[in-house]
Amino acid sequence: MVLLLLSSGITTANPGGEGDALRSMECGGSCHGDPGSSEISPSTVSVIVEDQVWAGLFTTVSVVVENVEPSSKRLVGVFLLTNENGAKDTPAHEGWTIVSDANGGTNNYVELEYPREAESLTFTWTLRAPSGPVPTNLLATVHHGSEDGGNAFQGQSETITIDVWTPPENLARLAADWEPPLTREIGEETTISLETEDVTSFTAEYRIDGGDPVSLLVSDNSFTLPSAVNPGTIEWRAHLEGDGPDQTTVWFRLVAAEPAWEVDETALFMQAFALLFLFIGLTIMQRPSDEIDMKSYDQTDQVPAMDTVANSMYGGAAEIFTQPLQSHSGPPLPPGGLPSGWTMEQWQHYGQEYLDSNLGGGVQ
Amino acid sequence: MISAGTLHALSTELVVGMFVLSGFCFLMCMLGKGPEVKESVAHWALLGGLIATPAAIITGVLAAPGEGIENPLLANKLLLSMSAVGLAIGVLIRRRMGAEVDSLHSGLGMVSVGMILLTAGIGGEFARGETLLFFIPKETVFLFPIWVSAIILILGMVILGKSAVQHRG
Repeated sequence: MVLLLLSSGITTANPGGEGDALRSMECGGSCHGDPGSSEISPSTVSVIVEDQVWAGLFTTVSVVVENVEPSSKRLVGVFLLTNENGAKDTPAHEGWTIVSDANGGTNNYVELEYPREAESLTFTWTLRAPSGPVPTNLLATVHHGSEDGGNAFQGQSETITIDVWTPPENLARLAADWEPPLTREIGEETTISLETEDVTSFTAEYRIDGGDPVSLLVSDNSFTLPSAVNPGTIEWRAHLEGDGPDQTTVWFRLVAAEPAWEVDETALFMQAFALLFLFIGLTIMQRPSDEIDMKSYDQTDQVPAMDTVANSMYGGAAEIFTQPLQSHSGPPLPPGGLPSGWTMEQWQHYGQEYLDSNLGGGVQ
Repeated sequence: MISAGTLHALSTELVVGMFVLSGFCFLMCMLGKGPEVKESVAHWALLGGLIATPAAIITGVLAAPGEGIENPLLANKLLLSMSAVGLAIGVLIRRRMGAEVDSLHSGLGMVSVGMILLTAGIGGEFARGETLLFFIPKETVFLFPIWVSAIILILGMVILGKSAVQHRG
């Protein structure tokens, strides 16, 4: 354990990241707000928004982070926020809906790996604007560690204001309740059906890694995106045409990921309980043996036979007690033993007379 | 409201703290050092850790993202923690049956503690992407077929039953 501790560097940052989540800056501030354990990031953070944002419709917000020197794990986290208060500062608090984030989720805090050779890293969100034309402030903060594993770093963009406009009544648009797919598995094509309003026809196109757009064949308001070979993101958009003004949607992002790891949970739980009972059984099987029990209660050395001092009547083991009893000739001894003052030799010769005169001839 | 993640952190610290105390006392027992009370502390702390373990498991399941077990680390965590709990229960029963706290008994207790700490290490890898235990399997799960698990389960129960009968006898 000591070796493991010594082999690991100590850092106030969390190189493994915190994971994507819907968080207020209170979270980032609690981890990276202590000036004793965090520093200002040398990176440059900018928020880029669309020129024209329609109320209730989709728009894209990009956060570009440059000149980051992250930890060895290369993780960089970015918050998309609406104020600097540290609380009630997510886009949702201003009526915005996060349709998708850079990882295909719906979070305002996202972590991405900063490529080694890259000069910048872009975090893209697709948002649905509030239903009313209310101007909104947006800013982003970046969080990362450092190569030497020291303090955590925090940087912040300038705050920009987005003006949200009421769209023309007959603007060709996607239906208010339509939601784009966000993720798919590698190797599968994706067919997308658009639900629209005030649209007579539309075309669609896709691009990969910001490359040139490729047109898609549209049939019955649907089109199919090609399957992904590797994990990554494909972007698509539609040009909507109708009686009113035309509209080109934002680039929607579709993230392709490896199929989720799956396990037969029945087999897993079965094995878990099997191991539980097996280990209980095996441990109890190692219970103290009878021999050990006997040792605990063995008092053989305390029995009279082992007592070298005890009277021979109880089996004393001393030499004096183990000598064979000497037999004597003559009459048997009376119940009280040899009469007082008599010797054994006298008893052999005159004992019978003693018995005849005192006990009527002998002992019973 | 308190999130399941916060409760999991609390219950996990309770479990790990109890088991570490127990492991330290078992180490003292093995070395034959320290006050006599170390034997009692080792077993009571082990029991305390066991009591807190279900809370840690339940809050952990609730705090994990997604539905079900979608990560090899979680599967390994489950298998390892159940093995550790089995071993710890066995150690307590063994003591209850009159076993002396000798090297074998202390060793079993320490293995149980080590497995719980390994489980906590996997939790760190899962939640924070870092752990001191760089050697833990991150993508490999040793999963038996159901029939093998069934045999092991029956075997475990038979051993358990036989040991109980022998003890009564």
